[in-house]
Amino acid sequence: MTSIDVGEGDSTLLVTPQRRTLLIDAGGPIGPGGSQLDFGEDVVSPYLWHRGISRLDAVAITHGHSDHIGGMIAVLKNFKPAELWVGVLPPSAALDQVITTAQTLGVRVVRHWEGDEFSFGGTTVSVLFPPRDLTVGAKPQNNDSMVLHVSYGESSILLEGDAEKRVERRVVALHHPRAALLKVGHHGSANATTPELVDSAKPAFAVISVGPGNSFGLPRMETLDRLARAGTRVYRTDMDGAMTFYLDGRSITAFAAGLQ
Amino acid sequence: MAWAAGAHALGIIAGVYCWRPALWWLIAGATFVFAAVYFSQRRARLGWWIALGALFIAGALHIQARGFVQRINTSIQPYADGQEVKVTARVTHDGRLRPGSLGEIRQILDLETEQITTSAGQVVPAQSGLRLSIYRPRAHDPVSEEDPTQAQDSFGPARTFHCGDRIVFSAKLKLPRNFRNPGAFDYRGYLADRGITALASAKADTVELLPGFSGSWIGAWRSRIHRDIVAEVHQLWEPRQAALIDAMVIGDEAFIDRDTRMDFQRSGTYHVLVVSGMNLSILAFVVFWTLRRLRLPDVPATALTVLLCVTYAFVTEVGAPVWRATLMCAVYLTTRLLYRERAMVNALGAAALALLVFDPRQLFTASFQMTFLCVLIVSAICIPILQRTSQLYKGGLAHWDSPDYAAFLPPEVAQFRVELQLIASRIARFIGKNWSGHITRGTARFALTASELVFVSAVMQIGLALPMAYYFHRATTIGMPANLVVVPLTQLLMPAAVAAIALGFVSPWLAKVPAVVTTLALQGITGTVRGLGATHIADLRVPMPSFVMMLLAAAALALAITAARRRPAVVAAGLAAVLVASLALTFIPLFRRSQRSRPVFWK
Repeated sequence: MTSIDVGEGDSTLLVTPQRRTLLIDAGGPIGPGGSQLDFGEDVVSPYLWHRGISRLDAVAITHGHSDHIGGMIAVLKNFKPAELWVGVLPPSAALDQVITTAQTLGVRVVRHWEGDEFSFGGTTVSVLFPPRDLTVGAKPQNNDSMVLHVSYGESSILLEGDAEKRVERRVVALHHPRAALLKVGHHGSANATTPELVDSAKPAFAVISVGPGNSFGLPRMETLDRLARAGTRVYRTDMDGAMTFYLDGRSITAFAAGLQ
Repeated sequence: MAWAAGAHALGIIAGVYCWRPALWWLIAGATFVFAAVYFSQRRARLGWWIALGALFIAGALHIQARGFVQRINTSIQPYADGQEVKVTARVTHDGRLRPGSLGEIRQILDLETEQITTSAGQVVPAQSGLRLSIYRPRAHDPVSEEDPTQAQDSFGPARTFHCGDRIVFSAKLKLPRNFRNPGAFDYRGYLADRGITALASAKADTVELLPGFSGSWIGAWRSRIHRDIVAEVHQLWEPRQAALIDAMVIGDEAFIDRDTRMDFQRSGTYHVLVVSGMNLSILAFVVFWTLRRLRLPDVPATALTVLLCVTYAFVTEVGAPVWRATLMCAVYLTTRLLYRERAMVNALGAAALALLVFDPRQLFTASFQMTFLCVLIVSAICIPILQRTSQLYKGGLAHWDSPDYAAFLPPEVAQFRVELQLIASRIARFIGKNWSGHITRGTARFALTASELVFVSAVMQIGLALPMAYYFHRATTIGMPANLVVVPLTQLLMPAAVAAIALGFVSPWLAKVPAVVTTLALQGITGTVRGLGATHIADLRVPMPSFVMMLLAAAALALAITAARRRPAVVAAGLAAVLVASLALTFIPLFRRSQRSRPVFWK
């Protein structure tokens, strides 16, 4: 798994033992003003090309915020994935545009809900959130986030999107996830990575996708304290650049890919 | 000269990747020079190879002495600490007003700082490069939304700052940051190459113009001429067309939007949208041809053409690429005067060597590599092949009425000529001998020229597959048909646009005819680019080629260059190798794992 450095946003690449590829979110600008950069074309795609990837097997959108889906249209065009995984689809012009682009390109749009479990290239993917009966808000929210648990052998990853404590509490209560590697929710906000989640997952490693000197003051010290108390080794894209973790089914090895 | 440039370039690469103490290189260099001098009189061939070795060592020594990284003054970086500082600076490069992403109007200026005043009141002299983005709210009027040069703020026409102006403003300084992913664009290096070490942003009404002028008058004149030309372009053409003319003719891309840029990239015609070697060569060719038609002797015509190229490069402010093209053009025209065989390859080598001696770091830039590769493909593959094929047949069309001329031609060309003359004699029954000769020869010449264009365009596309994949991750699948239309139209557009702009300063009426020609050519270009760029096949992206694949593609190109002057079967084999390599780069899926050399922690 690689947490790609997209500044204040999220983009995670999973490559399975059978070399199937899944990109979860594609970074993007924060706020409505946008940016001169197209995060999909200028930031995410160059990394994927550098890895020698020309096609993705699947892409997933955790939720509809611009810092997660802003680069997705370019990724869809450049890598023409077979599937687009989505959860809740609240009203949003940006989300609609991504879905429309996917359909135009012949990408199969697959809805995933809590309880779905399937095999993907030698790994087992479990969807821990959102439930089918989740009330859809008037606009995308952090707590729409699709939470995925990916396991391979004895090692596993918990990918939270921007899920906050309400979602985390439900996930812990219903699924008791264990994960050696935690992709920390909502860029290390104090509202996420609750003590309950950390106690349940007992992550040996955590990675926070966050921009340097961001105006939100992320990651919050409380979050880092919680992870430190749990003995979790934390990596941050603002300090370490792209972080790659190799899971061999028993252990995890971390590489600071951005330092290479 | 091509061999010399190649040896020097290899030496530069060796200097970067195989560092050795400078003294070693010096001793090795001196030994090689003495050996080359000694053997040049006794065994010339060996002396030649040793001389190349000396150039190789000179390259390695040069890059090590000069340093691979641009050395710039970073004295303002400690003040990029999140605290607001007051900066006094002079403008070294002024940008156009352009719309920002938040609906504001921005002007980007490159500055050289004079002093920094900290929040504690401490005044520190500092001379560093700073890129300042000045923003102002945009007045909602249809004119400025259509054309940013007409931008207004709430108080009237937006104030802009120009090269040589001294300004003072308060801002928080920021250090440029790269996205730290393998394969990411080196934004910090890009800015460092332009002398920029920090970034800042300030509201327009907080930026104060100081009295006086600082900097070079030449820079200020250039900036003013450039601005006047841009203003003239926007007078002559409507905003969308003016934006394209700005980019193509004067190298100002400020008004080109992302979609337009993508259309040109997808269709493999992006070289037309920027002031490239091709644009400069077209102008140089038109000027030289016109001067020769006016019966000006070769030497003054060459000198005037070179002078015009230098003036054009000076005014465009594009920097290294256009100066590179100017130097190549000058060297080519000069070597042409000497009637040397393979003048183009020699000119290419001389220009490359001069540029590498001037700045060896250029070797590692995409624009340097692609410029020289383009010219190398044309001069070392296309021209030798065309000289032995279509050029011979074109030669067979000369001295049409001479019965003896065919005796001096190769048999197949003589047969071609006789067959055409037979056709012409049949047609002569209907339209007369004179007209039938003209029509037959004209048609044959047109068909041969068109086939040459198709051939050059095709070889160029397959030959450039490697750098396109490496730098831009694109397979320009429609590059050949797109360039077949776009390049001739650019040949029409460039001189017409320059004539229109020049005449526009005299009288708008005089500029009308060339402006209409320019508009028609531009419409042809944009129509082709948008039409072909919209096809699905145009959007074919390719991953980073593996090292083995890059070596194979480079070897295929070298084979084609070597084979181009040999017998037809070998020529065909060389071209086939390049074609297979370009197809492999595009279609063979290569999956590389990322590097595993730096473990951080184990569990």
